[in-house]
Amino acid sequence: MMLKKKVTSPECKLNMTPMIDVVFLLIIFFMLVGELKRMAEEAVVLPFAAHAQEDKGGGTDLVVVNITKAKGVARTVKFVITKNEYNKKALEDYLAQRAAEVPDTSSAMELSRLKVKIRADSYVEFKYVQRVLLACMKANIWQVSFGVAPDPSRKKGNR
Amino acid sequence: MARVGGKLLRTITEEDDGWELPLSMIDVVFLLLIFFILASKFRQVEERLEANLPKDEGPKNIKVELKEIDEVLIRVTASETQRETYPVIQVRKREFRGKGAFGELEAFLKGVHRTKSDQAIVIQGKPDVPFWMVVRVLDACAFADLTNVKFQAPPAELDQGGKEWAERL
Repeated sequence: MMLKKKVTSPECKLNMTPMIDVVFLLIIFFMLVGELKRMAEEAVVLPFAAHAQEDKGGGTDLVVVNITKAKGVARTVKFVITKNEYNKKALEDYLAQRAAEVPDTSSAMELSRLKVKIRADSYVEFKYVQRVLLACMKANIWQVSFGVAPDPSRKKGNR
Repeated sequence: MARVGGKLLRTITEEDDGWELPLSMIDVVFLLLIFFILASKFRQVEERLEANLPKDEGPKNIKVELKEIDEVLIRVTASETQRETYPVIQVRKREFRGKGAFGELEAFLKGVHRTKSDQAIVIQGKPDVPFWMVVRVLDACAFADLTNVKFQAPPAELDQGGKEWAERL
């Protein structure tokens, strides 16, 4: 009598540990690369403020104007919007163009719904911020805010 | 297990001998730790201070003049010593200087708010003053719940007229 040989396949076990290792390493790698790239391009030392509001992001109707001191060149300040550098005239033109795209139809004064957030270095002279404010006024933009860092030494409502 | 003389004896193998280090688990735990450290460090800690421009005065009205007699004008200038630059804030014939200037301004503005909650404030920052000083004045206004805040701009181009304007302060 012939005995049928029972063919059993070897038990297949999926080892998840190396896969988790690799996935986490990839996540960390991309986080670091993305963050370092962003930090290199928009490094702004924001001024401290103790009574500012939480910034929940902007959406499409928000323009962030970065005002930084250019590296290596003494007393040279540059205006940066989404990684592009602008001079005074180009900044005015850009803001005017963006403001015209989102007119406030409820306003009789040709105002714009565009919001501008100014992120300026602490030690930048105020006249550069004034330039952006003037450009906003010329472009019919009235919703302006300043990017600040929370003051670590002074807590809200604790004084 | 082995049966010797009718008794069960436990066979001692090398695997049972010692405790094995769970290396793979340590790998994952460390990766998780690094992930959360990075995630917390890179969380953007940033807030914003509202500085809306005057909506009701028309956007083309570049020249800002004091229209209301009771507007509170805050002049922000800076004074330099060899060691540091410190703020000098003038408001209604008062002057606050040095490190405590912003605290004194906050107290003053709180008093202003008690008198009139919708008091109009005009911030007149000298063009060469560091931006952080203007932000601290705006912060003081936010502390005192004064939201009707405007910025006074120099009358002409900042590079030329601004200098003359600054000299008039």
